[in-house]
Formats: sequence, C-alpha cells, structure tokens
Amino acid sequence: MEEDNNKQDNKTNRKEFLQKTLLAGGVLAAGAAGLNNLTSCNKDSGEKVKVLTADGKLVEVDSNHLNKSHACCAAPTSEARFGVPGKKYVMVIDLSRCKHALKCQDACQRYHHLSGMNVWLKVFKMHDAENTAPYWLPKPCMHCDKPPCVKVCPVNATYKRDDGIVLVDNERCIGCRFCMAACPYSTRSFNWEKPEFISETEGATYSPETGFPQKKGTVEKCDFCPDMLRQGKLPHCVTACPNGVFYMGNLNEDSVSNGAETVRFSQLIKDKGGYRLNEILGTEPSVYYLPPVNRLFPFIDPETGKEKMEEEN
Amino acid sequence: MKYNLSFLAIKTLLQRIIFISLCISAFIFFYNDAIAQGVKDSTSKLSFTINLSSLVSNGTRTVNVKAGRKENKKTIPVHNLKSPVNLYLNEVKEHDAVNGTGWISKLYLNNEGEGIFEFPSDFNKLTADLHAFTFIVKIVSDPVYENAEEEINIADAKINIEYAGADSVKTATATLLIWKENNYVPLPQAELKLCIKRTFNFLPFGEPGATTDSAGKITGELPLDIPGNANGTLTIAARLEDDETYGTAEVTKDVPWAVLPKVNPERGRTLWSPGDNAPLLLVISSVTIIVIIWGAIFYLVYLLFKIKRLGKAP
Amino acid sequence: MQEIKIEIKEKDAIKMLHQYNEDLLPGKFGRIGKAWTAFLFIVFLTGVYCYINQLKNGLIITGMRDFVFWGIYISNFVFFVAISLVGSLITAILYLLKVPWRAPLTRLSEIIAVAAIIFAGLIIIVDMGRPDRMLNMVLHGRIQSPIIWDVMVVFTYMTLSILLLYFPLLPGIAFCRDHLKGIPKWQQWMYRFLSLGWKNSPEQYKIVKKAITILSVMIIPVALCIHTVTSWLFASTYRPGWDSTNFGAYFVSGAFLVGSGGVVAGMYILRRFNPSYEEYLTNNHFDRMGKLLVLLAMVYAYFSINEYLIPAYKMKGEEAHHLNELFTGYYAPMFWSVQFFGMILPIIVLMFKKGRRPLPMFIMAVLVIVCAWFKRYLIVIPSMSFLPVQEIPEAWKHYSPTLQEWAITGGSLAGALLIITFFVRYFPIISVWEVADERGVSHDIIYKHLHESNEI
Repeated sequence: MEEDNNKQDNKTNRKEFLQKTLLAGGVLAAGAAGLNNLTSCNKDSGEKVKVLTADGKLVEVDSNHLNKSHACCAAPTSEARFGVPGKKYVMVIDLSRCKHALKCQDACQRYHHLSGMNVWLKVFKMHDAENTAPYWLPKPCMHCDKPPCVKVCPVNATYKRDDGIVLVDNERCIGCRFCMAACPYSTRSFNWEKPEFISETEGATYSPETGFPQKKGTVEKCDFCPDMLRQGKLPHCVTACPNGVFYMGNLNEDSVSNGAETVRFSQLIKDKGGYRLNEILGTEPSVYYLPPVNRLFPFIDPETGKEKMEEEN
Repeated sequence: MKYNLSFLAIKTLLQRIIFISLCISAFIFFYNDAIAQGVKDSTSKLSFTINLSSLVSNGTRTVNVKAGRKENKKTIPVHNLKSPVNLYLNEVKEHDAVNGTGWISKLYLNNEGEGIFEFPSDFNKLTADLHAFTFIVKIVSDPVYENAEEEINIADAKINIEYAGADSVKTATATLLIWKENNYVPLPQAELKLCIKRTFNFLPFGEPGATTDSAGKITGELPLDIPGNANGTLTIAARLEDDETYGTAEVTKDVPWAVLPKVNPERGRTLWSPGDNAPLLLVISSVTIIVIIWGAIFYLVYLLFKIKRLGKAP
Repeated sequence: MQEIKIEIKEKDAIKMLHQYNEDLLPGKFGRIGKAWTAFLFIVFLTGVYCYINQLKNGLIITGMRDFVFWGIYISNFVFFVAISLVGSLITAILYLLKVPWRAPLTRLSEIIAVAAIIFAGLIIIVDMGRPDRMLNMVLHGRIQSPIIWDVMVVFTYMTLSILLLYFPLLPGIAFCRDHLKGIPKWQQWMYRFLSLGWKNSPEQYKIVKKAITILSVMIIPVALCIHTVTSWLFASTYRPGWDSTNFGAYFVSGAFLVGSGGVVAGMYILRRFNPSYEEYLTNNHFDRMGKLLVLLAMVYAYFSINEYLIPAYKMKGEEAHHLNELFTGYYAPMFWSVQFFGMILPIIVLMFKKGRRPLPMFIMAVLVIVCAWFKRYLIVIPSMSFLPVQEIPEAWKHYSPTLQEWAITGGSLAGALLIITFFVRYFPIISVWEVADERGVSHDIIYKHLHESNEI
C-alpha cells in the first residue's frame, strides 16, 4: 500500500515536473536564442534566463550555464598576454606512433582557418644519414622557455606568456620578419598577401589566442590552441591524431594526455627516453619527443610507396 | 602494316576517349549545380549522425550533443548549424505546448557541432526523484538535416568516494550504487576508475583494469609524489566512463595530500621579456650612450643657433 | 704632397682664393647632366610606382616567401649602410689624422654618406610588412631587440652625417647666396635660409671648426656601431653563415672598401664633366686613394678569409651545406666573381702606379661597388636556404627577385644618386675654405677674403 502510494506520488510528481519543465523550457528557448554571440565563456555573460522551480518560484540562471559554446573562448588581446594562471603547458610527441597520416595538420589548418600556403604544423621526413632509419617528425612551434624569436622582436608583438606559450599579436606586428630569422626551428610563416577568409567566419573579433582573422603583412605560427587550453580542452592536433602521437599537459601537475590515455609526464619521459630538439642551442623548448623505437607502423615513403627496408633489398 | 593497324586502333581509341570526355565535361559543366545540389542533399541526410551522451558529475547532470556528417568515410563536424537542436526528456518527441511535454531546451551547436546542456541547480532538484532518463535530441527546422534524431536511455548511478591513510600509504575507496527497485544497491564487476583530476583529463591510479567487488567497492593506492594545487590539495575522482546503461558518472573529492606544484618562475628581467622588463644593465648602458650622443647633438644644434645669432649681430 | 705648410704671400693667397671661388661655384648642368637627372628621375618614379603597388597587394609581389623571407631589400639596405660609412672614414678619420690631401674629398664623401643613410632608412621601411605600424617601434619598443638598436643608430648617424655635411658647408652656401646671379627665387630663398646669416666672421669660423672636431670624434664610434649593429641583425640568429663572431669587423672592413670605391667613382665623374675640378681632384688624389683602396681591400680580404676559411675547415653540418652552395654549388659563379673582381683584381691593379691613374681607378672603383652589392646579396640570401627543404612548394626553394622588387631596389639606388646629383647642382661639392686652408692660406686671409669673387 505504501509502495503504491509512493508510486502514485512519483507519478503525480513526474507529471507536475514535466509541466513545469515545459514552462521552464519555454523561457529557456527565449534565452537560448540570444546565446549565439557569446564573447567569452566560463564567465557570467550577464544574460539571465528565468527557470521555474518545483515550488513554483521563478529563479534566474545565467544563460552561460545552459549552453556552453567554446568557439568563442579566446581571451581579448590584453588578457591574452598573460596566459592561464598556474599552468605550464608542455607537449610530448611520440615519434614511434607517427605514420604521417597528417590528420593533425588537417585539423590545424581547418580550426585556425589557415589560408594559402601557411602551414603551422609540418611533418618532416627525417633521414639525415645514409645508414640511419627514416622516421616522421611532426613539428609544431617549440614554445621555447628562452625564445630567440621573442628576444629579437622590436615591438613586443611576439611574447612569452607565464603559462609557457609564445604568441603573436597580429595587430601589433610590423612585419620585419626578424623573428623568422631568429627561430632555429623555422616554425613561423608570413602573410605575404591579404589572407582569404571563409565566409562563415567573417566578422570574427581578433584574438592572439586564435590568430584569426589573419592580417596581411604579419607573422603567424602554431599557438598551442590557447583558446582550447583556456577551457581545459586539448589542442586540435592532439584530438585529431588517430594514433595518439601528441600528448598535451600541464608540467606543474606532472601529467600529459593524448585524449585516450593520461599519464604522468615524468614517468613517460623516463620510461621512453624523452628528449628535446636542438638542446645545444639553449632555447629550452616546451615540446618533448619520444624516440622512434618499437614503432607502431613501418616507415613508408609517400614518394616510392615502399617501406625503407624493402627498398634496399 | 601491323604497326599501322595498331596505330590506327590507338588513334580511334584516342578519338573516342576525347569525345566521351568532352561529352562528360559538357554534362558536368551544364548540370554541375544540379548534381552537386542533389548529391549534397541526399548524402548529408543519410549520413547525419548525432552523438548524445550524459554525464552526472557530483550530482549535476549534463547532456552533450555532438553532430557530424559522414563524408568520404570521415566524420566531419557540422559547422555552424543555423537552426537549433531540440532536447527532450522522457520519450516525448514533439514540442507541444498545450499538452505539457518534456521539451527541455533548444541548443545552438558551436563550430565543432557540439552543444552542452548542463542542468541548472533548480533543474537538478526537480529531477532528483527521477532515476531513469530518456534524452531525445531532434533537429526540426533545418532544411538539410530535417528530422535527424537520436535518443539515449540512462539509468541512475551514484558513486561515493572516501580516502584513508597515513604518510606512507594513502588509499582511496569508491563505491558504485545503482537504482534498483526503489533502492540504491551496489554494482559489482563494474569498471569504476579511480583517478586524479588534471588540467585536460583524469590521470588513473591504482591497479589498472580492476573492477568493483561484490560490495560495489574499489580501492586504489595514490601516488605519494603527485603535485596538486597550491594549497596542497588534490582532486581525486571515481568515474564510470561511457557505460551503456548509466552513461558517464563521476564524483570528485578534494584530499589534502598533494605535493606542492612547481610554481612558474617570476617574470624576471630577461632578454625575452617585454620592453619594460629589460635587463637593467642593458637599459642603463643604452640610456647612457643615448644621452651622451644626443646631448652632444643638441649642443651642436645649439652651435648652429649661435652662428645664426652672430650672423645677425652688426 | 703639401706635407709642410708653405707661407704664401698675401697677394697670391687672395688670388688663389678668388680662383677657387670661381672654379668651384655650382652651375647649370649640361645636356648629359640633364639626361642623367631625367634618367634617375624615371628610375626613381618607377620604384615609387611599384612600391605603391606593394602597399596595395602586400609583399606577395616580391620573390620572397616563408623559406627565403629576406631578399634584395635587406641586402640593399646592408649595401647602403656600408657605403655610408665612407663619410666617417674620409671626413673624420683622415681629418683627425691630419692627412694633408683630404680636403677636396670630404664633402663628396659626406654627401654620399647622407644620401646612402637616408635611403638605407627608407629601404628598410619598404621591407616591412606593415609600414603603417611604424609608430609601434616608439610606442612598444623593446630595447632588447637589435632592430631597435639599428633604428636608433641609423637615425643618430643620419643626424651626425647631416651636421658634418652642414657645418663646413655654411661659408659655401653664403657664397652662393651672395654671388650666384640670375637664379630663381626659390633658390635664393634656399641659400638665404640655409646660410644662417653667415658673414665670414672669425667667431663663426671658430664655432664651425669646434663643431667639426666634436663631430669627427663622435662620428667614428657611431659609424662603427651602425654597421656592426647591422651585422648583428644577422649574427644574432642561429643560421649558418650568419652565426659568426667575426661579422661586425667583416662588415665594417667591407664597408670602408665600398665607400672609398664610391668616392673614387664620384671623383672621376666630377672631373670628367667639369674639367675645372682637375685642379682640385688631382692625379695625386687618385694615387693616394688607390693606395688606400689597396689597404682597405687587404683588410677586407683578411676578414673574409676569417669568415669563410675557418668554418670551411670544420665543415660543420649546416655550415657545410651553406659553404658548399657558395664554393661549388648554386651560388658559386656569383661568389667567385665577387671575390675576384671586387677584391683580388683591385688589389693587383692598384698595386701598380699605372693602375692608380684616374681611368683604371674608376673602373676598379665601379667593380668594387658592383661586387659589393652582390656580396651583400650573397651574405643575406644563401643563409636562408639550408633548412630541410620539405613541405614547401617548389617555387619557394630558390629565391629570385621579381621585376617589381628590382624596380623598387633600383628606385632606391636612383634616389640616393639623385640626392648626390642635386647636391652637386646646387652646392659647391669641394669646400673652398678647407682646400685653401690645406694649401697653406692663412686663416686671417680666408676670413677676410673668402667671401670675395673676381668680379668685385
């Protein structure tokens, strides 16, 4: 009997609930319509939406709690100079897993709306000596801790943030290209002409955290997708890679993740013998590499379509 | 003779190929738009996919919608879907204002085709007595993706997490409870994961691949040297991930066990600092040089004025 | 030749002064002079037109791309900075050393310096992707950047050079003001304005001499700075061929050589088109300059050997690639001809007394200048083509300047020559009072009679 009562209660409760939900939903819809043009998330937008509670009271909820859109998470120029507090971003690239699928590059080009010949993330075929084994080397910006490019910038357009990221402010850059000369990893590219834009992104506000819209006569480069990092999301190359080559993490909390697995940074570097490129230059990059040992895929040269070993035999 | 024949054969073949390709290109040229339109409509309707998932984190429920379409075997996020998607709760698929239905929100998807609906706190209270959820997402008014829909059923699961230990051994124990016959009962053999919340993801600890025991419990040993936040606390979590019946459920707890994290070094006066933070020696020496040289230049300009004054004097 | 100042009788001295004044008064150009000016104008305006086009379309109109991102604008900039160093050499160093044959050459070298440094400043703006944001260098300048050092030092050197040109020119302007007849109003006004009311008083001369001494001392370190800092734009990077500690000295020595070449070429052209200058720019001057050129070319050869031989001995990875391209590869023909015609041949020819006659001197000077231009090209461009050449379009791998880029660069060279040409047209290119001073006319006579001409 008591159980029945309970059920009855539940039923009425549920019916009541659904009716009230409807009311709430109706208001939500009105609120949600205005949510498309949010300028920043994780912060209160100031836009309130009325929601009806169970006891019949109307409460106000900030509209940002209802629909989180993250295409808009890049900080404005002044804020983008400091970085996310407490973080020290670090990337680990596992060379033993790369098979030159170029999904990282595709995603990078698409999400940064890169037009023309500007490619931020390149994947090089490394085969320096006759008797060494070839392998693929994905090369983003190294985000050096002692960045030679930042040293030489005359106008502070490219800068080092506290969270380790090196960014370019395309609204300040004078286009002298000294940073391109100084970068020993050649990661920077220049907008030689007025970039072509995809119509859907027209009218977007500029932020150094997305580098978009690009500006004619300025330098740009891989930025570690700080708009994504700001939301605690992984950069696009990391999520796009089908083989989990890229790990991204916060050095201060000793952990990196490639989306599928999350491991301790120190352990990973220790177990697999991680290293950095051109340590001899003293630039202290934020990108670590794991050597191409016990590889997941054979090295196939896209030009010959053959595996290296086959070719020789 | 043979050579001639084969030559003729090749010639006619070439002529045919050219003719056919010309026809095809003409066709494509004139019907390009029509074909493209047709192809686009049919394929995108067919291959449109919506991924719906539910997450309950510390009692707050979130529904994630991810829309994409298949093109050349790749799932491409739907960019800027102009029309919103409708989210319903509990088996009602139409938005019917008169009869009172379970339409809960309208979502605009972002550039990556993602939309998130997090239950507002009051909404959470309202659903506190619901232990089974059916979420339906549907696109109504879009011309291309009309009537695409997806539905998931989620049963209620609850997780508790506790921690115990001294200096040398620190453990955390989580219990997984599910709603069964008006009661929360433990769920054995479930892959409940113990992990530490990190910036991007959850770092697992304890025995890999362990499952819950008959009491629905799982215990793991925390690493002793893991950095937490500046207060020395660490957020640990127990997670049931992407379960068919329960969706994703998680609970987090702060424990005061962490090693203090490395702190980013102070912004010093370095060669790669902004101009106002240049090394002092550099600033002092360059200012000194500039002052001396330009002081002399101003003196020379003063001499020019002196010459002019002498020129005016009788 | 006049190592010892000879006492000249007052009457002779006055006569000498009058003769100088008559010989050295600037005058109208002949037909060749006019054609030359028109030609320079056309080249300059073509450059301006192409630059406007570049402003509209961006640097895409150049041959530069991400791979080779600095081109002939930068090498031309280095060339201009180099040639402008001659101002400090002839005017300041030889002045302080009291070299007794320098006086007729000072103004020529100083106007070359001024013209070159002005266009060095302009060509670097041409190279900028966003010249509209130039003010950012003041608003957001970083003292850590070698570009800021370069901007400051170029501006300082320009100011000093203009002052060093201007102070000794004052009596000359005043003379033009008072003695040039039948000139248009604007020209009269210009002389009046620029002469600062000069009236040849001993007090004014005293100030001018003091200013010249201060400037001569000051301009030497600044001149060394300007080219050293320019070399640091390259040497502060990690690129092979640029990553060198020898670069400052190497650049400065090369700069003195090309600057002296410029003065010799200027001397010859002046003499060729105005025979009355032969009295002042004598064969003896060519002989002296020839010896100086040999010395400078040898110093330059010394630093060149340092620059190439030691890296070539080690043949370190990237460095080896770079040097092979220069010695035997793509750039080898240019590299060896530049070394031979721009350095070795002038040394050999100018060693002989016959080689130091005006015409061979002129040919050698032109060779030195042209080779110096291409030498800068070889310093700037090949260093950018050592990287792993992957993932870039075929067309980017080798840089070749576009027609418009050549036009803009040519326009800048024509512009600098225009400044010199106009100066020769409107101002005395040889300083009368300094020549008189050098030739032993006493100060009192100069003060008293410099301002007279034969007609009076």
